[in-house]
Amino acid sequence: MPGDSSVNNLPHSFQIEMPMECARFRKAMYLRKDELEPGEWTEFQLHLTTCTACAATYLEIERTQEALARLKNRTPHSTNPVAMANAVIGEIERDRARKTSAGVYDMIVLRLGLPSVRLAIASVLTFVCVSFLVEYTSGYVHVKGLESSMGTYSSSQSDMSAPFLAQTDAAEVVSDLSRFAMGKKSFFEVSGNWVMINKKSIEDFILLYNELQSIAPKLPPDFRAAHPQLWKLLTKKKDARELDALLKERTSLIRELNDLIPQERKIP
Amino acid sequence: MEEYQGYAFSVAFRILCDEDEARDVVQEAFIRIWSSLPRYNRELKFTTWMYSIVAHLCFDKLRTRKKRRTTALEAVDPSLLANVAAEHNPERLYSNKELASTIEMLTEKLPPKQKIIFVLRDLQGLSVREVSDILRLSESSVKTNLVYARRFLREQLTPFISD
Repeated sequence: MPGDSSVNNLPHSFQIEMPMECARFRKAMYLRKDELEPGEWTEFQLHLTTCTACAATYLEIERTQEALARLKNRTPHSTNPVAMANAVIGEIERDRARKTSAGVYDMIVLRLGLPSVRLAIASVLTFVCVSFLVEYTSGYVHVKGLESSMGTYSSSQSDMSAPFLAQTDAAEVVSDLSRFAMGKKSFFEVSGNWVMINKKSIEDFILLYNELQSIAPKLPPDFRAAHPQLWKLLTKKKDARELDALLKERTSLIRELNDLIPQERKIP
Repeated sequence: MEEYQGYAFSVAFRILCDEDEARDVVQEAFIRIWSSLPRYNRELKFTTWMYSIVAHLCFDKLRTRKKRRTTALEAVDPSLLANVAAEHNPERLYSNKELASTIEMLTEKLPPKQKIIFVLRDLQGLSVREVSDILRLSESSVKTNLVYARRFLREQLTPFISD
């Protein structure tokens, strides 16, 4: 039947036989007046007056549309609109409450944003930095004093070189760390109690200790009074083997490092 | 709020054909509307924006439940279609259940997009322009989908329409 959608189910050869004029309106047939262009609608209406097949199909479509229009008039009714509205409002309230009650992390971030908190954090950081500088400076002054004493002594004893030089330049701390990390430096001072040290340095330290012990008897009496701790350390009778054993007892790390020292280079 | 809620429920119910699911969608839609209010484009009608949210939520529901629902519908009474096709008592009040079954029988085999377009245009009575705004489709795309949906519905209803 020309204009009928059932032509879609027909073999291709039959579809070709459908008049071109009817095929043009196959889509327009399902659209209403307000869904078509004014010209299209007029043209379609004109076609219906000349094509009985399309007119019959269109009548069928119109009856279907009338049936659907009846369905349109049947409005679904919400059984309890007030309860539904209350449920929505309740959920919105809960959502709002969730948003206003921030989590722990949000609270921290929020608090960090307060000027008073930022001032407090800056004060604490300043205090830590100043404490570090004071401690470092006092240590620097102490080492400098020790170095000066040793230097004075060594200059008076022209045949003797300065026993050791202390690393005291604060600006070199960072470069020391990088050098240590690259293996170009044997130790790095982590804190007052901890030093990162390699096995070679343990050997050097023991050798230096032995050397200092040999120098100790030649130190002047005022050195003993000025540096009692160092004097005690240098003059204490303790050989390298005992010191090595002592180091082994300290930490597993030092023990491990010391174990790596080649046997032929061990301090006798 | 209840007035808009009624519109939203009507659309959701006609699309989903399930009262509980429609109620859930309306609730979810209004929560989304509330949370998206700061981003609301005032050039758009509020109802268009609301329908858009409802329609998209329904679209997601339809896609996820498609397989789940097919077996449950086999028990639906085909006489409901006959009632729609040849209405003898237009004043009769239909229960939500009857209405849901009728729309579902008619439209269950339509693709979700066509079903939503059909509901918005033919059952909800919105203009093609409004439907295109709601679904963010061109008007020609809306019309094409309408043609397919109406052709399918005609095939469904024709056997029940008496001369």
